[in-house]
Amino acid sequence: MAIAVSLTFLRLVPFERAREHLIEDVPFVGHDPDMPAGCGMFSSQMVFEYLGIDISIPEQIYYTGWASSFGYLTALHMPSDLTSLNNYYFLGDLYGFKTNVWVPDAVDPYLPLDGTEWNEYWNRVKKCIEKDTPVLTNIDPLSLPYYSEELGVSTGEAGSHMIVLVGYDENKDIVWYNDPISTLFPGQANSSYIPVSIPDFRNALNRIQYKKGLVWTYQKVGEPIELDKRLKCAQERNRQRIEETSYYLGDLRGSLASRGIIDVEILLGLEMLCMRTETKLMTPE
Amino acid sequence: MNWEKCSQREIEALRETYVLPQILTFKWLQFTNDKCAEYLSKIGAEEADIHSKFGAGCGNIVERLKQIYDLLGADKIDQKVMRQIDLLLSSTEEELDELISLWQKAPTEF
Repeated sequence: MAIAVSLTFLRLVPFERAREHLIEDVPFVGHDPDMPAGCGMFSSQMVFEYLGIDISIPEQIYYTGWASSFGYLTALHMPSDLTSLNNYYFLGDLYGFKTNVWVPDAVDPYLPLDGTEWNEYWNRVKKCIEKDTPVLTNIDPLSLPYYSEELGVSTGEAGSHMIVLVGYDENKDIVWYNDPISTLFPGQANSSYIPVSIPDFRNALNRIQYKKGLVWTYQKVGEPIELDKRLKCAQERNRQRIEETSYYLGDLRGSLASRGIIDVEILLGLEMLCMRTETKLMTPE
Repeated sequence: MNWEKCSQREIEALRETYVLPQILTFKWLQFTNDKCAEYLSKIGAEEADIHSKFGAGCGNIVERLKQIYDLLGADKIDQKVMRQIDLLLSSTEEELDELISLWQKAPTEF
């Protein structure tokens, strides 16, 4: 009889996923003090170091081809190409890792994630963290209390900023993250494992306009290929990018030469150029 | 360019939506090219020199654009300020020419 009661009790209590997990020892890598851009790069570096992927920041820059391309995304307040997945797929082929990227289906970039989309996102984040896989995601930094207090500003549109999620505790309603940009603020030389309430985090995530609900992870699948082969592949790819760069620089030169940089036509031309680049980047790959 | 015809609003728009993004862009290019030069010279690759020169050129452009940004922020843009901006634009244009030729030569030099 006692056994029967226990079994009945077990059937009535639904299985619950662990409501907390913290990934230990995710290293912190901060922005270069003179460089406010590149959060994706510095965030990626934290995960590479955690996973034991042997790559340095200069190598990341060279092999992704960032130094060999040109453009600025006005809507995102950052240089183009930083969010291009192809760069990381390419880098992964050279260094033996896989890039996994997911965003909720049919998300309207101008609306907050609805309940279903948020749950889908959050469950995926938790699943990764439970497997000790740090998650790169985008938020609006000015919507986090940490930033608004540090900078003395209210919430605004600061664009999109990438951070690394390293843990969560639903019992305490907290998510922990590493933030590469903290090195740019006095007194915040190492901001790893920053706690923020889940509602505040969700709000910060909802305020960006680009790739809302991004779940970006890396997985080590092999070893780097030989240096000579790596260089050859990158040189070939960078050559192609340089041709495009020359085109962009030429366009900029033309607008400066005309001395009419305030003319509506040229401003529109620049906007078109930015929009074209953005459209290209936002096209699913 | 007839600066006198520009309204304060237009100048502010020019400063924030055109000059500032370009400062950040060239700063980024300077940073990334310097890092590439650092890595490539460490492994003895010849293209280190091109990245080094490109980074330096971008740094020069950043300095000029910063000056333009500051000048556009002045309370009143008089003839003297206009001349300064025009001179800075000219030298930026020259630097861009050099960068373009550097990049155009680069593929055959690798």
